[in-house]
Amino acid sequence: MQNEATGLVLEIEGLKTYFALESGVAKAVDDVSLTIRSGATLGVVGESGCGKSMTALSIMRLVPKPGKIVGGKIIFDGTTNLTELSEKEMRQIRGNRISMIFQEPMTSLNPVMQIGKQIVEAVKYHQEMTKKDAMDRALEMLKLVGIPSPERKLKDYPHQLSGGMRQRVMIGMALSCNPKLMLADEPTTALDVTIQAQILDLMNRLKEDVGTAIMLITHDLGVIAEMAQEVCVMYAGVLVESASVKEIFTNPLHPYTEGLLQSVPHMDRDADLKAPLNTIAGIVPNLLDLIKGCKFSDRCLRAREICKSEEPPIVKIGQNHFVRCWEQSR
Amino acid sequence: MDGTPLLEIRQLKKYFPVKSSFGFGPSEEVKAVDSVELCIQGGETLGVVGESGCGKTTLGRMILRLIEPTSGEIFFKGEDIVRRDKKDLYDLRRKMQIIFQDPYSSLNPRQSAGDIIGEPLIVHNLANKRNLRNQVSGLMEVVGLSPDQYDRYPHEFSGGQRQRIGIARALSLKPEFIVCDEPVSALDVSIKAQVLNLLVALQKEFNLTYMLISHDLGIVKHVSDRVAVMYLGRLVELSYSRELYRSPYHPYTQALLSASPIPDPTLKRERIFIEGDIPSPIHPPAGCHFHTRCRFRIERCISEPPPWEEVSHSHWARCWRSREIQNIK
Repeated sequence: MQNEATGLVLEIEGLKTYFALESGVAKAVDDVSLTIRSGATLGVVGESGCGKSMTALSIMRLVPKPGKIVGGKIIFDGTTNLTELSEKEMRQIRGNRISMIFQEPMTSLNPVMQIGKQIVEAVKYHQEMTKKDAMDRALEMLKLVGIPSPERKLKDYPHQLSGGMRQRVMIGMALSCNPKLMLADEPTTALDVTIQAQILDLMNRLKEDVGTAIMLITHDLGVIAEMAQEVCVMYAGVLVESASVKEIFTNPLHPYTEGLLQSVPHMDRDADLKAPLNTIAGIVPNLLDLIKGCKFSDRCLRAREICKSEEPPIVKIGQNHFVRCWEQSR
Repeated sequence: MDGTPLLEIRQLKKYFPVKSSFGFGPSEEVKAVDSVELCIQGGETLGVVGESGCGKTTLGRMILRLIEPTSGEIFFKGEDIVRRDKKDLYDLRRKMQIIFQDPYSSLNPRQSAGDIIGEPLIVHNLANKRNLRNQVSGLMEVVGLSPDQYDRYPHEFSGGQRQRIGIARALSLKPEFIVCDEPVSALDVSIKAQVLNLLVALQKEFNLTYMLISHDLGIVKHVSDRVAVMYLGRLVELSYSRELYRSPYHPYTQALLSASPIPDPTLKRERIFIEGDIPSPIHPPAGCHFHTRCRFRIERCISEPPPWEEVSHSHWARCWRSREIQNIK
């Protein structure tokens, strides 16, 4: 049942996913709160190690060891707190009501199993269905994701398909049980631009047709601009800003968001050739060696005393615009 | 820029033999680079774009003779370097260098940063033990590394810093021409801009000529004077970057530009989709290689390969319909 009152398919509150390592505790996800509206696309951007993939894996309860969810709630569909479910209960949700697609489809498909059988396996696990019905469903999914001559492709093995086609199969498989939410972790990063355009278009179209909400994880601001309605920006395990896509791009309030947007050359604008790009000084921090205070303060040009000593709270600025920066909290 | 180009490429080809799919029968060929003609002027940056398998990397490596061309000529400062004996490339290597994509696999993990940067100097007898450290420290400063990091090993550096090591190594011999093969693709967004700025600054300081190979059209436009587009081993379009991005002739260039996401949610554009996948380079389509995916295809495209011609001033394209295409909607 959809949560009619709020229209939210997912609410994360204060999620903490930590890795207890010999050399210390890596706070991969630290106090992240976000929501996803049903049928909408939430874009999550950030650089390597910012915790965007770990947030998705936490939702799926697939955090690799020694990582562990140590705090927070993940409310799915208004009622179920995913962090409290048993592994058995979680299996009923995974691939059924929440599914996930990954960057490299070759490593997430079984190389020695025909793709038709792989989809049938997923469908039959979750739904009472005869083998024939499940096969029909698989065929229907391949048609839906635009695979040419789908009857023949059912019998193909993953290596016989191109990268774009494999990603289509993954999407078909992910949507085969009509999930409420699909987590897409860099789904087009390994693909060429013309194929990326096809896959992004497919995801947008299916979102409309099937009504699945999407959490799209990417480092590509262009992809975010074209796909997402809401955007979360993460840095070093922390959510630093979230707002509507238009608001993020036109009125970024966190210095990191601002720096990120300015460091990308725009193909559509005739800027001066070879003019220096705006950069963010310094490097992406190591999670084991985080500074006190605001995680971004050592790279921030506007950092003040307080930024280096105390972590800023996340505050609401406008409608649906949240930012974690001392400049904005008075 | 003066009249004689630093580099001139004529009819350059690289055919890789591949075993036929059944293990017997006639062996086949991948035409990785097919009859490429190019000039690169001293001090300019030529961007080369295209999707995977289009031959852009093979082209770059052939120019450095890291891959032997099947046929064709490469004139570097007026001399055809293809005819040089392989053992006789020593002085050429000093003038031509390469920066690789992956700063993780292109640096020897057992060598310290200083040794990596200094090795070319030793190989070419340009430094002795006494002044090596000084020279390397100078190079490290040029690329924005601290000389204190001389004795550190690659794993102790971040991705962006490793790429700086690779750049310092390429610069150590004071080359004139550098092939930059996807120099920032493996880096994080905020680090990409840093390294791009460095490459641009170094170009100005040392009057370097770059060939920038990339699939990122935004980056290529930002730093390239001219841009070449490749598809299945052939050049399909070449022009000044602003001109090429503003008014592309080739339908593939048009589609490529339209497929690249632009970080601006307020921008509404009509997207040109190209259907299907990139065909196998072993059996590229006859005629124009792009005809299987082209929305402007006519009979002629299927049978006859279009010529490489200068459609307007310094704007080259390989398309039968290049003169009319901008008016078709």
